[in-house]
Amino acid sequence: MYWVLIKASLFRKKIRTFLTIASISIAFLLFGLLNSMSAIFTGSMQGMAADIIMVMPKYNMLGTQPYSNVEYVRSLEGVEKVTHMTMLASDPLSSMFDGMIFAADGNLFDVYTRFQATEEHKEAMLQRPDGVLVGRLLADQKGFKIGDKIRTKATFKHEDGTFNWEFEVVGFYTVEQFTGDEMGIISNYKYIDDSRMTMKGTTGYIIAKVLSPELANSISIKIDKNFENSDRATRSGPENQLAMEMVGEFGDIELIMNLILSAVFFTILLVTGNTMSQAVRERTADLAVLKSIGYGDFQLFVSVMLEAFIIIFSGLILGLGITLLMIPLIVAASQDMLQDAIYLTSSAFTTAFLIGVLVSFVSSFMPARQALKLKVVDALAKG
Amino acid sequence: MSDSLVSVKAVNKTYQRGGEKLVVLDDLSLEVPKGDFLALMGPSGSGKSTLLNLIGGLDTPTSGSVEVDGERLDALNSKALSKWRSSHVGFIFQFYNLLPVLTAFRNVELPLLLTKLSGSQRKQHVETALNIVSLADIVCDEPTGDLDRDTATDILNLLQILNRDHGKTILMVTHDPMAADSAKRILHLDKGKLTH
Repeated sequence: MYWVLIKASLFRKKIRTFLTIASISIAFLLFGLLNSMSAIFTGSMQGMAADIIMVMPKYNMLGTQPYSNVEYVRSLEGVEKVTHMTMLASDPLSSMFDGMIFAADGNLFDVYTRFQATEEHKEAMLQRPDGVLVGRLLADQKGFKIGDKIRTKATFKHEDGTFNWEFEVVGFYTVEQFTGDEMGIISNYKYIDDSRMTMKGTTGYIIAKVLSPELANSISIKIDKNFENSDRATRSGPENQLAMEMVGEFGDIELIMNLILSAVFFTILLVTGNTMSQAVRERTADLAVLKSIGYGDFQLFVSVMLEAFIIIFSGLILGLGITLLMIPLIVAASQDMLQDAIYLTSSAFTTAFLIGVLVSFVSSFMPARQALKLKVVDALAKG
Repeated sequence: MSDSLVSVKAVNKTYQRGGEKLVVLDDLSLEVPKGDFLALMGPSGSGKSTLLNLIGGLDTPTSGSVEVDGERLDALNSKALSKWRSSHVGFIFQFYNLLPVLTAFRNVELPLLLTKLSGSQRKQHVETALNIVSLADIVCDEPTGDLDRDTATDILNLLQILNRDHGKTILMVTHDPMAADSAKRILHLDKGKLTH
């Protein structure tokens, strides 16, 4: 019974119904895309561990800190393993590629297990001082293969007096989650440090694995306290927390996202509310006829409510469906860098469902009540 | 037990418009026997449609009683009235008021959706137009008001057939003397009272 009434209402103004569903689907598409990318915006990327502490220079995240800081961190109680990485800032215009080269300690793969390489490739890198492991994504993009030479112009001098650095590809590495980290090159720290004329004995990030995630905060505080007010002041914290803090420095991204989504859903509410009010107003005579022939007040109330639910949930399914179709396209367009960074979680679907229910209810309640309260005699008199 | 299908007793219907009290039906009483075909005539605002609405269960009186086929309509609540309308009365509206996106078949089927009939039974009922014939009585508010003369004649003939051959009781409000002539008897209303 309801379906006949709802179909009659939905098809009465086909273009309006289509446009309303289209606007709602665009709103849910925006919701879906923002949600799927929230890991990037909020820094809560999968794979960032709570038991890994990052220690970096406090005032310049691309700066350096003395190597002795590594030894200090290693000496702390609760720290299981320590490694470190230095980024070779390079001149992109004079280099073979614009990716990052990191000088890492030999135990990087042991401490930072998100990064993985075969034993053969790890051994090859240790055997050859200028050997590097190339991220799988970068290697695929640039076509690097074992034995290739990679030349880059760094911002610090090689011992030969130039800024030119040359490496040989001896293998590849992969990253378990968030494959964007596969866009780099890992080289031997010892070789870099021994071969450079300036900044010797410094490193960039210190990465420490602690015995349990509960210790991460207290150890981080202890490290920062130790170097407080010195020229080697540090900024430390669990990797996942630090990533979120760093993103937060650009602004409260989560708040901005929530504001955008609130605006979107307020718009849906107005669009649907307006459509439903207009539809019920236009159908006053129809509703009066239905009441005349015996349809009850509550039946018509439910019919109007269900109509709103169908409109909103059609838009919801369409919007989230397009989102699901777009995610692989975005990943492909990013050349797989966003492989594990954009995804729709089950909580996003649940939130969308709850929003759908809420908006359907709020937007259709008044028009449905109007149908409920409609006096047949008055409505028929108005024609 | 009375042989009347419709029994209206001492009915008053008033509306409040601002501070003014508008008397539409004034202590009106009327008996309509089963099988009657009654035309109600009168000037605009005389209360014809209001009386028809009360008999069709679309409205309730301010005071007095309206009894149709043994059921006191003035004592029924909105839900019970809806149920009663769905099974006892058929309406012919002046402007047809069909649901525009539904086919004629679906429009006729609409009241049957409220019954417990199966899809095939509904189909059968619609196809044989029994949904109209099976109703106890039919109320028509200006059924020919918006029609050309030929179509109006067809409708009036149809009403006469329903009344004569199927025993349907028909109450019709009209301004049209030709339409009124199709009825068995004519009553005139003026200022909420039956004049003759």
